[in-house]
Amino acid sequence: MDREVNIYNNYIEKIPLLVYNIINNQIRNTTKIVLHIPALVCYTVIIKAKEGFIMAKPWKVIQYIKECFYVYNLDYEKFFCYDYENGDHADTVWCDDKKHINMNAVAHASMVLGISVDDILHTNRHAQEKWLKKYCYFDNFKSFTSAYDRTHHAPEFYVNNLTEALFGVKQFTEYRDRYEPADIVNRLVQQLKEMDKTCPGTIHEGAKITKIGYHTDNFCKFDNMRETVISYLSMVDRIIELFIKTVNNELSDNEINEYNLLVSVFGLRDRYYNKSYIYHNTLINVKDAFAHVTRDNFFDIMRFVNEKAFQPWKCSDFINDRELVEKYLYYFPAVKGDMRQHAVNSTYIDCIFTWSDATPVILSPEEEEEYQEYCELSGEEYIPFEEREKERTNILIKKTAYELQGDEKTADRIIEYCRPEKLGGIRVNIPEYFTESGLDMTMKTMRRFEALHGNVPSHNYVQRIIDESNRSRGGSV
Amino acid sequence: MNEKLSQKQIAGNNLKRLIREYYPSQEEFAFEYGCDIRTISRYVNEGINKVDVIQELAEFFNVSFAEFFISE
Repeated sequence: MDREVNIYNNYIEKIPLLVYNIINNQIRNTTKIVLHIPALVCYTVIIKAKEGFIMAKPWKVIQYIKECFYVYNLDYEKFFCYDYENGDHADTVWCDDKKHINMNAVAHASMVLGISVDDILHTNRHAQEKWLKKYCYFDNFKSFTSAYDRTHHAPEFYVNNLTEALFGVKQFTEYRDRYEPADIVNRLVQQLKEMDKTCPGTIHEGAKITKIGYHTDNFCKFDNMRETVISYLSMVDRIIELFIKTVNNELSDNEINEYNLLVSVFGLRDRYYNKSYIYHNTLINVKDAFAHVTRDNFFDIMRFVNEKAFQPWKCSDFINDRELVEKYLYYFPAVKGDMRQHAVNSTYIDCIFTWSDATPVILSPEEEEEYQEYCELSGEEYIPFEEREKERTNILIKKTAYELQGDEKTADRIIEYCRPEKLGGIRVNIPEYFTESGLDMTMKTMRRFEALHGNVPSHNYVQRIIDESNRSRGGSV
Repeated sequence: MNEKLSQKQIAGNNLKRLIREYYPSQEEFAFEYGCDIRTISRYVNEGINKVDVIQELAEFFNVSFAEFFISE
């Protein structure tokens, strides 16, 4: 089926993510695109540019910068919205009243994106594409995310979305969706009966199941996953190499740009003095404090705060390659727990409901204390026990072969990888920082602060840094 | 009520036994399992009263759900 379709900006919201992703960067040119919907249909769509779509130069530059954030899968708001961490999303002021561009913001974009100021001001496409060519991870990440986003329903659902948006008709009038609520509820009731035999009291006699909902996750298929993971791990090797080179030698301008982009991608921070990303201009000023960093101890001193932004374990092509999973876990041992959680979420359906006779949620003494403190500090009204929401129950229901959509072996494999080593699981190295005492952590944080600032911080200040660090604790090798 | 408490405690004791069988310490298990060490200590010391938590642990240790309720 070949059709020519004009898609303008005001129509974008109505079309599926798949098409949006394709045209997002190409709306200024008339483009012919062939859309392949897995195994079902193939469309050719001509996207025509809207007439008069020519931007003034400062806007071109701003658009270019925002496109770079898109192509490198970076969150623009995180870097350019004031007080982003506290939920304020006010954008940077890019132009003054005379339409002059804010050069401080351009310089910041240059550092974050690893593209020179000149290249940004000239909206140099080659500069933007340089890192895309070197690391296929950037492009492939989008395709992987898009493939994953299309797993929640049967394929016919997505085809219908597309044909309805493009041609105003649904391709399939009847089809079986991936998850059928009525069937899930029937299986839940059967399972509760079975569990009640082993664990009496699981079924609340005489009570009804109310407020039922369910949650599950899936695996996607993505043929290029191996090369994507290898590219990603090569980026890890490269950032370590450039970090050590900065400490010991000088980097070329090109290397500085590459290092800075990788810092933005991974969110490179000091593990113990976790205040900001360690871009090249910061590192060069405090390089003596990192003189002892080697490839082997890199992750004992540094950490990637974005290490879970890429989740290859959601792809069956990754899981079905044990050697690749082992390699990935060697670099990122702390994600084994996330992988295990995904194994459960994608092989079971988590049914959540409330028994009609359920008691209000019972908090542990520590939780109760925290709740009271929170109410005092925030001014929110304290809700007494009897008036609190009733306790909810979660029961896991094993997925059927149809719900797994061909991923039965993937499900078995991921569950096995995540088990203890003696049960066939993949062994991971427990990083030193995970088991260190509070005293060790305090001492290391003080030493890091002293190395960076030349004086010893107060105990309260160190404790605050450790608390912040613990809240976002993660870990690579 | 007593029976329910004892079920909860039996599940906690079985978790303790399984951790000992497969891991040198509760910390190492917590790291691999992707759970806070304080949560694991609470399960082991105070027991486990959430069915889905036991289901996940049973899958992890490759034992049946029923095995978590067998008293040693």
